[in-house]
Amino acid sequence: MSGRRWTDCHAQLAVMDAMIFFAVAGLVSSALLANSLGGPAEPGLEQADNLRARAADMLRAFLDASLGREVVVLSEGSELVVPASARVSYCIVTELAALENVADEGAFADMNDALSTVLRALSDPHVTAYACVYDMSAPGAILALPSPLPDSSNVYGSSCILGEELGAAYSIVLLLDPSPPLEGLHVG
Amino acid sequence: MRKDDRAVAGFFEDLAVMVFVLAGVSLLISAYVWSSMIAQAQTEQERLDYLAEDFVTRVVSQAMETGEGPAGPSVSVLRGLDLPAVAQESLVGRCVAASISVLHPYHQLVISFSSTDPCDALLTGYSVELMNAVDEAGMVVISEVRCVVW
Repeated sequence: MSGRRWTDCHAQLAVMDAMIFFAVAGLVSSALLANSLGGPAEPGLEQADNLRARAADMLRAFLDASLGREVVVLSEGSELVVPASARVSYCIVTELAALENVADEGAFADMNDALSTVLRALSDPHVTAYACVYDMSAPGAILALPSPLPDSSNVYGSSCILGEELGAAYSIVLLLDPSPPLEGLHVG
Repeated sequence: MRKDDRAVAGFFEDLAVMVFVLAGVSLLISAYVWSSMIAQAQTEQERLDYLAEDFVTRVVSQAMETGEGPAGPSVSVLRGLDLPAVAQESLVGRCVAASISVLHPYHQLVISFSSTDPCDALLTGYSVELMNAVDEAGMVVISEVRCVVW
């Protein structure tokens, strides 16, 4: 009688050991899968790096490109025709120099529209590009293309110095907003 | 018949133990196989992305070397680029689809190339780079080199 009780206890112990082994195997397997599914880097960080590299590439191409169409600037009765082949960097520096000399901001509406068109051509369907220019000596953007700038903290950018050859120091920042543009969406 | 007074039920008593042990072992084996498959796919993806990036860099540098002027190569130089030769040089045993197109001030496909050999496409590598070029009218256009490798 007592022999039966004794061996039963041993059988119970074998099942317990097997269950513990199964539990440990489950833990090890889940750790292994979690580690391999996590990957070497977070997908968010990888996307941010790609967007920053893309912004730097886009900024370089944007500044060196031609405006693409002839633009007329009307200021204080005089008419300035900017040819279609004028570089974007030249157009921006010219506009900033004119704005410093208290030129009417509305006079450059057509040019800003042409510059925004260049940015739209560069934008991917899932990323919207914005450019803003800062005066190194004063806070706040003095030019935003297209205006207004995105109200999102989830933007990635690249910057460079502009107008050094003219003795001015402007910083141009190209921002990429990965949220889809609201243009064309009709909300009832 | 002898009485089972030592509580040894033979095969049936060990069945529960065997089920737990086998389940644990198979869980470990399947997790190992699955994670090595994922690691292999990640390595292959990185390799394909690197190959695509390398192809685009080679195309851009070849265009810059061939092209004249500080504004970049001309569009006709881009049109004359030998993309199959670049693919043969950098992508041995891989398939590629590449294109160069103008994005601004007009949209135009300059040149495209795609491998004709059949390849399995379970994973693809992708790369894109922008470059400036001068068109026939003297305008500095923005062109884009795109490439998909599988």
